[in-house]
Amino acid sequence: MQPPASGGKGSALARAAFGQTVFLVAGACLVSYVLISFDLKWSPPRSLREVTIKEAHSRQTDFVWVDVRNPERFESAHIPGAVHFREAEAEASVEAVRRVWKAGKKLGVYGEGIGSDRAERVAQSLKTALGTREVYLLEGGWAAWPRP
Amino acid sequence: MLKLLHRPSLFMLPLLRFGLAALFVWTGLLKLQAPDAAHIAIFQYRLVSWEAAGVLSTLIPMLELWAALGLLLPRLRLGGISLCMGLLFVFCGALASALVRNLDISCGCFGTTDAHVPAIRRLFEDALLLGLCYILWREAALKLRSDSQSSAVPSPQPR
Repeated sequence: MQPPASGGKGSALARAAFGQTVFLVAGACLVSYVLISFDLKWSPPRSLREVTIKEAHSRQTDFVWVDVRNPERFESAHIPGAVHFREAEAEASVEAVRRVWKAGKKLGVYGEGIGSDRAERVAQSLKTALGTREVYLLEGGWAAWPRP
Repeated sequence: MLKLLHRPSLFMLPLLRFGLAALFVWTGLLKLQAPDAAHIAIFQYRLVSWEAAGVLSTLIPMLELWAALGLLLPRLRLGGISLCMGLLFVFCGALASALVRNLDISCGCFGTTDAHVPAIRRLFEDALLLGLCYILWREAALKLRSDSQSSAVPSPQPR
């Protein structure tokens, strides 16, 4: 028995749409995979390491957090216990970090988002000032930090 | 001329198709040239993990570009329209969920250029685009049917 004409046409339409969509999605996935493999995104300088959000969140107490964002942004919200670092008052800010930081603890520096130049500069200067290699940049910065 | 005016599909539909394709190419390229901003914009919807948002920040603009390609190529038109509709559904859903959860976010639809555009406006725009896609879909489906009818062996009995 033949299927009804309208159903046959409808399924032909659905088949055509599905096949073409799968082809386009597969193409997009393939090119995306190549782009992701080449890693065209921002990555930290070799002298600095990044800490992932997952790791930072699970081992929050291992870190002394340094927030390099603008004062208003820091006051509106920040990682609990974070020290605000003002680049304009670098010496006083380094002292403020030194007061809460103990040898053996890691320093986590974060800015507004990914690849914050300010976070990079502050992380480098803290590394020199405190003589520790355990200075990390928070991957994704404040933008990636989980909010309640 | 009068005949043309009675059949707006003759010039309106290709125009609509090219317009939609151009829009998707533009938004795709905007996101691809600022992948970090797209990464953050996607993550701020709080629907996927940071890692997944990183993958989506490349995949979504790429899907937009391929959807535009589908819209422009006659053999892939139905797929292109379906993909556009699928993407717009997802965008509408994400924007609506952000509005429901009262998230203060930038849409991220146009890369870094739309930081101050309210999400509700973007939701209406996406819904409008979805409506336009439906018009294109209906037309493409009718065309496919008429093509298959004309290519079929003519029946001796009238329908």
